[in-house]
Amino acid sequence: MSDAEKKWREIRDEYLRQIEAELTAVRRPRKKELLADVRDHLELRFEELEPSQRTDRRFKEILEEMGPAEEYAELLKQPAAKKTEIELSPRYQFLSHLFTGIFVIVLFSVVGYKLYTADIKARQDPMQDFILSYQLDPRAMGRWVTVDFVETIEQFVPGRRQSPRDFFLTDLEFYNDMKTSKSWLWSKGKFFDPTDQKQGEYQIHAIEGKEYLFLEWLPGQNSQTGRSPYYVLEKENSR
Amino acid sequence: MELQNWQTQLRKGLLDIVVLNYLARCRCHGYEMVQELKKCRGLTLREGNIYPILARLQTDGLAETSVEPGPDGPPRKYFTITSQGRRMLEEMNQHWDMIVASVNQVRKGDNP
Repeated sequence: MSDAEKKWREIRDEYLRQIEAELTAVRRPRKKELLADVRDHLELRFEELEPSQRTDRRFKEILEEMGPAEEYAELLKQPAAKKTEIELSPRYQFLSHLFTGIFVIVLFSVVGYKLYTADIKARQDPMQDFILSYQLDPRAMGRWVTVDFVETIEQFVPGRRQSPRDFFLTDLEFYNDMKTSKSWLWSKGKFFDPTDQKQGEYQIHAIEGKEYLFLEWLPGQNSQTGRSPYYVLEKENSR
Repeated sequence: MELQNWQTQLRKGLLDIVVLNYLARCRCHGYEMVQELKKCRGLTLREGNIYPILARLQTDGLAETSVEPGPDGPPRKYFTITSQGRRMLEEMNQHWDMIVASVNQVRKGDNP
């Protein structure tokens, strides 16, 4: 390498160091690219010089023609011309849309999962579902005593017992905290057996001036028809 | 106010529109663009000014680059205006025309 080339490299590298120092405080990308472009430009300027022109003075003139180091920083951080509406670079737009899409997918997935698991949980916990749907039935409150056991509600005739057998269920009391005198829970028109996790219905009908409660007897359910017999209970106060 | 200061600020402010207009005409290497623009005396261009402008235009999506084998030596980077750059340039040129017309109007003493 000739002395002129060595000198040129010293001056060139010093100039590039000055630019790099000025760019340190600039928060814009492509600073390394910019330095590489300036370096390439300077090399082309040097190559165009005749050997006789390769002097310290000419080298410094080239750098003056390039402009001071601080101008690079000033021009790099200058705000770009803006359209009437904000427009981002294609890459930023793509990344922005990508992350938005991912966020929406994750959000819906989480919400969907929560709903799904809540539904599953409800399905897996019918008692919870029963409790959450509790409704008070003032007509049911109090103690009821069994008077008959019938296949259908229509079969019942007050004072004319249909069932000859002893009653398994002799009485039932409804409390105002959803509980009964048995292990069952109750709500308006229905009851829940925690043992079997099954739900049955009850109906209260006024017949010949008295109220009778017809309690669906699930253990007696006909497997073919799906219909259950009923215990018929009379309100204790009315007896 | 110093004239030279004003000229410097004006030049710096015009570089974006100048460089984009040049890129709109042709795909070019930075060095070639500098040599051509130096011929426009009114610009009083500093050779190095082009590169931060080109870097910014790339970042803003108004210009893009491609690297191709040089005619006699290492590969060269060529700059091209993008479609977004063309849309931006159209508005810039319209605005420039309006500014020039307005300044001339005031100079001539016509009612604004």
